[in-house]
Amino acid sequence: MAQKVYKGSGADFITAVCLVLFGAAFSIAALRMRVFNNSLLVSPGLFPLILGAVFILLGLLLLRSAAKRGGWAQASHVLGKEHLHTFATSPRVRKAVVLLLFIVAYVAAVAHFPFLWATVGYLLVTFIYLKAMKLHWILLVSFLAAYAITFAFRDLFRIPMP
Amino acid sequence: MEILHLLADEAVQVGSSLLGALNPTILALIFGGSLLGLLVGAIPGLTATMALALLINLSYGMPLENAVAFLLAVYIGAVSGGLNAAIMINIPGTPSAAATCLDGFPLAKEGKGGLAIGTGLIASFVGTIFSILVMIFLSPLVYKIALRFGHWELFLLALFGIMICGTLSAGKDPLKGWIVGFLGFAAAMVGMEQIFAYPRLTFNFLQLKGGIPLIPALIGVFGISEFLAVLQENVAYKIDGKVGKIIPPMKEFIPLIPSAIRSGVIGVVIGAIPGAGEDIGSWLSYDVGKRRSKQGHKFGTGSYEGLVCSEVANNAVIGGAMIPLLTLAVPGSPPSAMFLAAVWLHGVRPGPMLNFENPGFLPLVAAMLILGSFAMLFWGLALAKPMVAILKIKREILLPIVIPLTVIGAYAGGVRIFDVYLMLAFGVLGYILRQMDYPLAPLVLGLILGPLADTSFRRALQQSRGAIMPLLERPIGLLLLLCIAWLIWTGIKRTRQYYAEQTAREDGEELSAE
Repeated sequence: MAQKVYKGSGADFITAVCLVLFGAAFSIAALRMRVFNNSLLVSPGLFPLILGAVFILLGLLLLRSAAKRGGWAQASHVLGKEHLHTFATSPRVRKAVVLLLFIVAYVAAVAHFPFLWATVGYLLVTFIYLKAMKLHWILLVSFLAAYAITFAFRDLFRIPMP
Repeated sequence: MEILHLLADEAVQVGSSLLGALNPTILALIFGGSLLGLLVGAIPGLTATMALALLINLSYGMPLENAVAFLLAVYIGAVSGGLNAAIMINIPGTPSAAATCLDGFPLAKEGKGGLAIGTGLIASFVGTIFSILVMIFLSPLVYKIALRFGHWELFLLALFGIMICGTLSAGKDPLKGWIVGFLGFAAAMVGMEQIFAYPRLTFNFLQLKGGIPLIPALIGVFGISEFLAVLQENVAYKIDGKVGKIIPPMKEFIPLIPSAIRSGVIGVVIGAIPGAGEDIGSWLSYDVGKRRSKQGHKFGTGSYEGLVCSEVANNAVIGGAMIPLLTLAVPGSPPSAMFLAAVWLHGVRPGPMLNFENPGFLPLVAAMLILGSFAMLFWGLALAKPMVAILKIKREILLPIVIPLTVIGAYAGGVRIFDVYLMLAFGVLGYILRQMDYPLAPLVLGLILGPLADTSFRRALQQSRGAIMPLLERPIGLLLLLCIAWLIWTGIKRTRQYYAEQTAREDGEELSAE
């Protein structure tokens, strides 16, 4: 008889596996940190080594709990092609990803273009995507907000700007 | 007698700090900060931590006194500002005002929205002032105890901090809170460690040698993740009730005094617990109030007492959170972690030695908190009606404007674009954790306490030549160790119980569906 699957168990199962792997990697990195022939007691790697072990322990605790609730079956389903497709095309996820991409593009733009114009561009695109208001208002608000922020921080408070 | 002398000294110093603060620049910063805090707090989706994250960059160029005045005014304003949205649209402006919705919104529907806002603001003021008084009188005592802390105690304090923060902030599943807390510890291991200046986990990035800067990480975790999480939901809201009269009659308050005192005590205690925060204080106080009050059955139907329980407690957390922050450098709430990062930038190192290195700092904080509370009450009552108009502005317009402010905040501290990339990375991490119902406060606390835990642990071992037995001879250390053991024991039990209940509930749902 197939094991019954409970909500959240798949996510917990995947997190637990990631945690165990992360803990192992952390421990290995910590073991390479011994310097100046010092003993393990004061070695810079001692605390990270313990942390690595703690992550493995916490991961195993989570894994046990998730496995009892049908985590393996649920995780296989969650990582299945069909579910991944549904997840990727869900409006909530798409909206978050698009908004995040706008921020990434904005950060990249800020590093290469004047702050004021990068900000105008970011606000314009984000407002249009979110359908925040009518186009003429979007143009006006984007420019005014970007100008007010630049003026307040750069000129009024003399804060270093990107 | 010695304690009485200490307290009298403290009171005199607070008095002179108050007099010193009565100059136009500081008053303008307090009133300006309070107004900005109230505005940010009133907007659903923007928390008090976010308010500090967005406005911290304004304080970079200010002298210490001005920066403290401004940031504390923002903090108080933002925690209190959340009640406007909670009462008028049933959506808490900040998570700390979530319990306020339960009684505030029914009152607004009855046409008593203004009275509810007025009562909530006065309760917030009372809660803040109460907590400041407790902070003034308790901090010197905690300093005296903190001076006895050795390396073992400091290590155990850091560990206790993330364990209790994880336990309280994760609700029914403390395991998740601990995982996040230890992730914070792991992030704190990046950079040059403090004993041998050995670079750890820098992956050859020169910028990581100084470690992960706190402010970009905090802005990312609380700012970017919040922006993404709030905007991906389509929550439409409209204002139902009328504002009406704002200032409630004085006689209404007398029966509420016992509840206010109880909520103040709960708020201060929760505030003093590392990383617990305003929302936990507010919910706990509301829950205790509901069970203790003779009018408990009216809670949730538009009870002024319920409103007072929530609002006194969330503001009392502010003073409570300052006690461990100033005496032990352990922030009691996420916004106070932001404040800690800001004062670090100004060269002040809170902790057991603060009273020797910066003897006037605690009275300065107390004085600014008192003035900030008055400013909050003034703006809150004066702008109660215009504030409702601000709630009508769509979140889709207000929130994108926040992003340029986060970029400036992350950049301005170290003047490096790398810090903006770090903020983005922490924002994504925060968003993922949020989506998986992991609390964020332990991550920040772990990041702050990680270096203390690491250095103290290794120094303690070095001092005792690897033996752990000397710890058993130290009463404070032993007490902390027992507390940690108790937290682990009860936490694992609670996690098991939670999953057992969840599976039983799902089984029940399935059976009833069949």
